[in-house]
Amino acid sequence: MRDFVHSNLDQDVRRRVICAQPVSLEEKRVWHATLARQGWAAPHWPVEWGGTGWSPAKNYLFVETLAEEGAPELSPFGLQLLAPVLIRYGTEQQKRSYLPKILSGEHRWCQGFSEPGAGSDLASLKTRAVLDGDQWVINGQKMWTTVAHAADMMFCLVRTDPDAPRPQMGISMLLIDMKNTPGVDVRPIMLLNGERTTNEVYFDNARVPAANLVGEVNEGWNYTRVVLGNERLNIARVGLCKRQLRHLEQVVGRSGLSGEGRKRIRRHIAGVALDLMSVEALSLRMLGRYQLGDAPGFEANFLKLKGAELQQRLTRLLVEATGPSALRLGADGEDSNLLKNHFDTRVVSIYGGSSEVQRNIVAKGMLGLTKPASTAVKGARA
Amino acid sequence: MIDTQDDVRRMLADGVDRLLEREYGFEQRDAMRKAMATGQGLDKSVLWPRLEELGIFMLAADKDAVQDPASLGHMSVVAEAMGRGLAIEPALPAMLGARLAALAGTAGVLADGQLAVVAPSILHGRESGFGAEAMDGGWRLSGQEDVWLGGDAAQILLLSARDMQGVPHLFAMPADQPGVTCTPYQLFDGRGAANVALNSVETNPAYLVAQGEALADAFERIELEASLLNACDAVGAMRGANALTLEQLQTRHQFGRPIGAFQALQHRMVDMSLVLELADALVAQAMVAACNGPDAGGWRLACGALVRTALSSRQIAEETVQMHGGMGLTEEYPAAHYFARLTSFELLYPAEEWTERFARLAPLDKAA
Repeated sequence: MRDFVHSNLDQDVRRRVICAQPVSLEEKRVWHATLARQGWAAPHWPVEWGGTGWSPAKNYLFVETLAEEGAPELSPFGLQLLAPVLIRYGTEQQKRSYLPKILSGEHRWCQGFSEPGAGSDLASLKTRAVLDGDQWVINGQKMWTTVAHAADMMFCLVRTDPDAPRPQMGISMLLIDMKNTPGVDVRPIMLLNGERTTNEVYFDNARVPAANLVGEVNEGWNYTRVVLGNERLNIARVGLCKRQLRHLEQVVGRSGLSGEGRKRIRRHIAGVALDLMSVEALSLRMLGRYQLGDAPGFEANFLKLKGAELQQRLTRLLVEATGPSALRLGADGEDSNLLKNHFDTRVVSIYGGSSEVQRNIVAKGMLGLTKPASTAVKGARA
Repeated sequence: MIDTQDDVRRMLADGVDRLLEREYGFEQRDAMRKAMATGQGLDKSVLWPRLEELGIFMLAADKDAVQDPASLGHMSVVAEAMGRGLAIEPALPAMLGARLAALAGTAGVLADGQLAVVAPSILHGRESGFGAEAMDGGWRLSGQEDVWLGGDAAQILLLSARDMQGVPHLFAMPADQPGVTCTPYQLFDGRGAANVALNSVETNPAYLVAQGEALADAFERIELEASLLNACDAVGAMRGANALTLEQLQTRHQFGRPIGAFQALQHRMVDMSLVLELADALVAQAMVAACNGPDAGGWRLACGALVRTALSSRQIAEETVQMHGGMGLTEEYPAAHYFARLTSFELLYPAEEWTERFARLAPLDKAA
């Protein structure tokens, strides 16, 4: 796997990934195509749809090794998030028309989940879809839709039963052609990083074929749980953290830092390295249990929030180790854009269920802390 | 601790847990702690014979056990149960004594059931506090080392001393030998300990059990194993503290609802669970690595495990007391006892010291 990255990934792209410099969507597409030719674009898929049949352990190692070696991350929306849902709940027609193009990288997908009023509280989403003959008519607004501007397709959560007893029960999942559907309007949201990565998407009587419904009507929330539950084995991004740690050590090694400043940053680096070891140990334990048949449990929530913290500490340390030139924006060279990169990493504890939501899930699910008052007798256990 | 289907370990874990969780409640164990505080010494008539029945010394001392990677895992099960159960009996020191004797190839020097305690300088990889002088037909030993965990109940003291040429020697010294001053006392966490001073103790040559640089291997291995087994004790204590604190959040009512209904406390409880999981997973991984002996990879993981366990111990100790309020400070309730046990660990294995050690193991300058 390491050799494959070294021989097939453009050296300049690899260098930029390692140094936390920007990589374009087109460069990522080229790498996706390279992996697809090797049969490695989606190793975790079933063999009949182009997967490898590898064990979970090998899949885990594949993802971490590629990240460690400086390969760009492929867009997860089609490959990791939607595909397992289609494979499990999609029609034959949907599988045949979408999966091959996800695998090859020909289609770029985006995820229409968040809305202005539905972030952490995703189930309160309001975008409405009404069946009119053999078409769904969609009205409403999505927000924080990553790469919607460059996407061919969107998988979208819409409200199909506003009167359902619980908000989760009136949601459906639709597949929307982003290039050829009148009434779909994508507008950029500019972040301080100066890049257009995320968007608002407006639907004004946008019509999609009834056949683009995934699974059953009003069952979309259950599929969403599958989406959010996928690829949790690699959720802490251990390989990426190892790569950043190694790069950080090199930066400190050749930096002009001396004396107390150098000592201080090395102590911080050792602290992150030690923390990373415990995160890797927990990831491997989760993997071991998964191999024995246990679905990833609350370890995954722990690893999401702890992994986010580690990534943020690493990019922060890289800024500190580089010194004032890390503040510089847009110039050539490895030192520039590092503060921007650190800023971008703040999103890791916000997307995919914020760290606060992860804590809520563990508090409720694992610790049972939102239940009504328990009547257990206190002091029974030492 | 270690993830395996090993039946022996499961039976052992069940046995120790049943013993500590069901047969000896917190009140009974705490009565022993109080009795010790009145100067009666450790009451070895209650829990100790039951621990012996479980065969905890065999685990450590059996000659085959030293070669058997599973034996370390078995000891970890006992250590974790002792920590969780807040037991004050010196099971861990006893296992380490038997283990060192076996590692040094001299398991036979200990009689059945004899409680041998290892000098803290050996367990912590420090220079010995004792010196040895050869004399006709034996040795003369002098020096002092403080805070021998379990030393209050020791029958044999396993100590290292260099001779005039600087060669290390391992002695198995009876604690009641004339000239040996063993000053017992109780730690804040209730366990017993002692300071040991030797004042020109003239020894029988039979007390010398091994010598030479080959001892360094046995010493390094017992240091690694002792540190990880102490971490297992702390993992057990953290598990107990978290269970107790969760119960407190579910049952203590203020402002008309269980305090666990408040999100601020929920999130802190989640963080306590998180840092326990991290420590548990890494200690288990380090344990597996340590079965191959103390190589560089083993020490690397051990450093990680010790630092993580120390940091987690401190956080859980402090949060456990805080979330119990005033009750968390009382003698009658286990929360404070967990605080004491966990604080002992993180002071004996300070996170900063082990972070430094890790940094020395993995030089950051080797820029490729």
